[in-house]
Amino acid sequence: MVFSELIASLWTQLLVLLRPMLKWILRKVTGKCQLLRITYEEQPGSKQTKRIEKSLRESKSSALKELSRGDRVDVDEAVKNVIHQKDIVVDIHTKFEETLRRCLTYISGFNNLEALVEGHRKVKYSTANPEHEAKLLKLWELYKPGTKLQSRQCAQWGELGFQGNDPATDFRGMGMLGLDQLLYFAEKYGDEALNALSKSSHPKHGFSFAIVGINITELQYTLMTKRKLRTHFYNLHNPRPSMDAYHEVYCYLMSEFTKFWFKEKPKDIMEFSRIREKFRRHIISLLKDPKTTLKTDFQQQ
Amino acid sequence: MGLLALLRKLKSSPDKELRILLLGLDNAGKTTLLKQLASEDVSHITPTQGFNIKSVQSSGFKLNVWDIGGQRRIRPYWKNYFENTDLLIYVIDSADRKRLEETGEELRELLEEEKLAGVPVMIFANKQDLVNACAAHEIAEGLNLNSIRDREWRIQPCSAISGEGVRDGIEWVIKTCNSKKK
Repeated sequence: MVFSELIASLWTQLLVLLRPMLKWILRKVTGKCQLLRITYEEQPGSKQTKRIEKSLRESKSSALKELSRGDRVDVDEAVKNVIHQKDIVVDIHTKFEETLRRCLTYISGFNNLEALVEGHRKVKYSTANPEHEAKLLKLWELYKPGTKLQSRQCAQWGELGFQGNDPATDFRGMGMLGLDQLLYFAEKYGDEALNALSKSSHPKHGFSFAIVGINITELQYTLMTKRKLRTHFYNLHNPRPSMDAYHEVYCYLMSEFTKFWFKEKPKDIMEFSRIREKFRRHIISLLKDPKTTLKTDFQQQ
Repeated sequence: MGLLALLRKLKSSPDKELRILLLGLDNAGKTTLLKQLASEDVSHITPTQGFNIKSVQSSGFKLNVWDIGGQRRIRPYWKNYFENTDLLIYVIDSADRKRLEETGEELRELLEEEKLAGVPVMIFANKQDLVNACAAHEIAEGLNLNSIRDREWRIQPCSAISGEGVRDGIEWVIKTCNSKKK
């Protein structure tokens, strides 16, 4: 075990050492730098953007490295600099400029979205904030149309799948992101959201809708910070996704998770960790296909 | 097998395993405590639906810690995890004064469980970092802990989020299990 790990680690070390040499040889043989080669080898799509991103990230130049992580990149300026730095003759390599511009827009757009998401997550739910409280009451109205909430703190919240009498303590590390996502689902796809809530309410085989919703917020958040969601966002039409585009993925995950849960035929709620993990692996396997976008029937506009 | 693995095998005897059950009301801080024990990031916690389990190495012991969700709906399932428990860790949100009575009631019921008879209990008076937290001795009085005579017990003030007090508590856990297992 240890020995094979040692070999694997040595091999990676070797690759790191050999990489510049290999790049240099390829550059001499093909007459093209790596970025340029990628624009010839790949068609537009998530795979091309990811390869460009990787090449930038592993670049020796700190300016190029920065382009892979920046969330407010001046794309026009960056394209000009890369062409200059890499001595690319745009009259010969006619697709290069356009391809690089597109990839950089997607990369910067994704990084910007990640920063936005983190901003929302970091805002803790506060009972002292009237805006937060209003959102919470709105959540009740959307998921329980026609049923009056007896008081702000009461056992009725359990019907929505919160843990106790005050939902405020359930948002925890996901902050306002958790509440915003539950709200978005019901606001945008009311039928689908109410359907998921009603299915989840099965007394024996169901789950606690709201806290599972917050768990799914965490699942999506982790996929985002581990950059697994790039496949989806690099395949979208709009290279600068908004929070709404992020919440759309959440609606997909909530609806898919509900189906997945019942397909697994759980004995009871104690199987949640197992099924959640299986679901997470399933989503990751989908994201390995470069053509994937996470969308379902009710989201096709 | 590589030389390194061989050496490692000669050096250490297999760790003694302990089964530890982590219980308490919802929002008491069980999962945060679990993550703190495993030296993991505590800033992305969500409510536990079902349970979490982690194995943590500590002073020659392998602690298998079962963190079971604390919401009312899940509490009936706690009993499914009692078997072979070496030690119970009970976590209390010291700032949740409204539910001190409820948490005391749940603890009392646990201590009456046959399958947990004689199992030592470590009570973490968590969230001491909050200004309105009850002191550990107040909780001990309120819950009448001094009446526990059928097992070893201890109350430890802590802040699972900052980690303060956690190490002291775990040292007691290991010491107590160690003397029991010999």
